[in-house]
Amino acid sequence: MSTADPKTAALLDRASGYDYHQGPMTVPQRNPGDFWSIECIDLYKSFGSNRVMNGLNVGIPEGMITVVLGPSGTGKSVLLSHLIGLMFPDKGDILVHGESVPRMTQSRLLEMRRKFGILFQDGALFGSMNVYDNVAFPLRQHTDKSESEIRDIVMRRLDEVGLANGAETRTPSELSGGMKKRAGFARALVLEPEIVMFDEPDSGLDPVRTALLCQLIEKVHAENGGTYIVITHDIASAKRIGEYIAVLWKGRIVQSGDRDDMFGSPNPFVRQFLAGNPGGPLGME
Amino acid sequence: MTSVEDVYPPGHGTPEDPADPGAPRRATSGDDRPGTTADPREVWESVIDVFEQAADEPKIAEPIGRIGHDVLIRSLDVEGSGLLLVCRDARIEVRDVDGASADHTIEIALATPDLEKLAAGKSRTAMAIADGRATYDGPVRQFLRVLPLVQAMVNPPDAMGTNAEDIAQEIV
Repeated sequence: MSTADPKTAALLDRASGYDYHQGPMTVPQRNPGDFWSIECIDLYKSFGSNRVMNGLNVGIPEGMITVVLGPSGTGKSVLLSHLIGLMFPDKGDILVHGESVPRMTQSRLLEMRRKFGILFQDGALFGSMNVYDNVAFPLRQHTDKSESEIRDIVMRRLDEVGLANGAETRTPSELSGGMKKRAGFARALVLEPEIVMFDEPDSGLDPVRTALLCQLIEKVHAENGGTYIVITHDIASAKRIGEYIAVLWKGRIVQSGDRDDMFGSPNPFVRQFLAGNPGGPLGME
Repeated sequence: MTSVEDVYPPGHGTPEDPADPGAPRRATSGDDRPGTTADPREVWESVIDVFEQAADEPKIAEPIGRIGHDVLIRSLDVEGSGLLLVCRDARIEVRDVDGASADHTIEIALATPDLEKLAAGKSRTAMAIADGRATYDGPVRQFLRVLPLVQAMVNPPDAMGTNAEDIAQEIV
């Protein structure tokens, strides 16, 4: 396994030197799955000589909207892939509701993934299907519900995201970026997942559309409960919807905690990143 | 290697027996988090009101009622306090009970500042547990999963009034 370059290693050591770095939030709990929805324990992952995860520890609390925030290229999407078992760590463990993902059999892994609903960056809609069929797809694939039951569920979900007003007959190419995200969100919800993940939901959206999507995420969470994980580098989105925030940098969680605590953090790394300040320990490297 | 002190800093709750991973965690009401001047009894009464209101609201009671547990909520500051939520058959039954003796499958005990947040719809109960400010027992995660519904009832998220119009006007 490769080691981080000396400059990065020095910065990571400095970031880790703060007492609050290893607070109770970043340490796996004593009874796996008790109240953490997901626990990542000392994760390492490299692609060739590039180490993407570098001893990452984080717990995702149940019933809250967690935002994993970090600069571009710092391992956010790789982390998301590990949570659902699309990638496996070189070292360390991931527990979903107390169950180790890397140790799951293939059939158990497929079953476990049904706990998750995912909104991908671009919506990942099937271009050949209209919105209705895109949203109905998981129900037709994974359940034996009748078409009338599927219709009820799909229309309820489309209504929830504001797309039941005729947009269901359109194909993805006829949708704006914001509408694609909404359609993807509706599809992520149809199987009533316990954990919903959003990979950069703000990508490609203007600030107003981003704010509206955040408002929608909050509303749907308030109506359904569950654990929501939002991966983003957009600080405004994090501040708006994040109840629990984890700041990821160079493959490690620098600090995590309650939103108010995080935005008042004395940690210079966190403070610089959350303030979007060019001056500070974070550079262009 | 991580010590017990690393996981549970001074002032936070610690497991009764650090050697026993199954030991219940004990919180103290004299926590070092910012406190409250509110009367514990009044706060406790307002928590009861919130859950009674939730039980009367089918949209909230139904999903919570499906978890199939008897949830006991206690105040760490009000002796004998106990609110039993019988969550079964897609409904919630709220009972004022003696917290020391009531049968339950899930138990959460919170100090007054956290109960005050719960009553105001601003509780982050999972964080209170993680911080050691709350005691829990049983499969608490299942209750935490649906608790946001109660919180949103008290403190609704921003209105979505502009979204429908916004979508209708979106340029393709």
